[in-house]
Amino acid sequence: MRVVALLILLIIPTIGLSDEIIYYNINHNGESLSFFNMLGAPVPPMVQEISRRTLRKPFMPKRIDPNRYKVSIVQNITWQGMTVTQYDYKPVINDRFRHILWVLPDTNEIVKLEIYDANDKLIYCAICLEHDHSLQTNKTKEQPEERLTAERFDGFVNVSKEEAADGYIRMLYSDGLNRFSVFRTPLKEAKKEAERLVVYGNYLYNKDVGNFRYTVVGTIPYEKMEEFVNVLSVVNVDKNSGDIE
Amino acid sequence: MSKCQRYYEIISAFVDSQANALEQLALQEHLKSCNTCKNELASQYALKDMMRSYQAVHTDLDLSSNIMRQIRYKRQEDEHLAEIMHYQAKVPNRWVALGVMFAMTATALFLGSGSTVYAQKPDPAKEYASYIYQHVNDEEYRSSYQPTDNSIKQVSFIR
Repeated sequence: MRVVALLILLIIPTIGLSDEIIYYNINHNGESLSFFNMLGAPVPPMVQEISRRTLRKPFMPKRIDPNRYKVSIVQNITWQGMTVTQYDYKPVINDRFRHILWVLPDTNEIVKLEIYDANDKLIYCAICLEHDHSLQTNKTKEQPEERLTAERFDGFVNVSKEEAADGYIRMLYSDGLNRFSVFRTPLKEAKKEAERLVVYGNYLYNKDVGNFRYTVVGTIPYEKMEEFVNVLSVVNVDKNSGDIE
Repeated sequence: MSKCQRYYEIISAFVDSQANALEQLALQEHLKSCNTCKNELASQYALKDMMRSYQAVHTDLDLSSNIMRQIRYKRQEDEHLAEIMHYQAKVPNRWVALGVMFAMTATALFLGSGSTVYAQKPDPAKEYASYIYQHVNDEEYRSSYQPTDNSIKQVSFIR
């Protein structure tokens, strides 16, 4: 555990607790880990960083495809001296994860987030009572308009893409609530069996196909990840237009 | 039972991930103003860490059974050796007898090395930390939403 913490500290620069996230419950490697952000209860830096980035995003219900989720909203809940609104997004088809968010209605800041996997098992929970507004950029305050992009995969929109000459690809997909990243890296070692893991509250799927290793990370079921890898591995990506042929 | 005594039970359950949501929130409220319970929580975590490091020992601590196992095999080896010596005169080829002795000794030594290694479940955090970190990086997520033309270009994947 100490070695892992040291390794993470070497990878990530100094992280300050600018958003006060006081409670975490994360499924990691099959174990449910709970942390209280208080004196004497150390929280791994990676857990802090994941939660800080996840909860710092303002909640934007307009980005969420209404055809993919059934939402129930409860307003005017009094909690910890605050008035919050609860959003419960259940997927219509069990091909993505259920989210329950507690949000401040004025600022759309997320104060509590719970994510349940396809088996209705809690894989991630965090409570954040104070947000550091100095960390948020002007772009988030402006509530940017929805952009319609060229690539969609079952309601997931391709948000970003990176490519390199050696065949490396990295793509991020989001449906406004659930998101997943795909990494395609040239295979430099012997092929291994497909892996299914849970890493810090995210599902992770590895599969070697041809000369590449595909790694999918995010909050969608393994079957969906495998489906995406099977599709991507037989499709040629046109580097010029970014279209999938 | 004092007020803090009740929370000690919740703290114990919480450290073992057994506390329910209400208990967790009650504990959270109580910890805001009670240093005694904060110290108790820290002690419980320290104890849990100590127990984890104890369980991660990589050698077989049951030395007595290990020693007995080796003694038993040594005794069997001696008995086999005695048998071979007894029948040595009847064996025309001494090299065959020596080969058999060597094989039996090697087998006995192999079976006698009874150390067990505690296999720790591999932690995927080491290998996949960078993937997770890149995935949660929300800068590109936010910056991607810029006003552009509203044309939709549907692309179908080849399945």
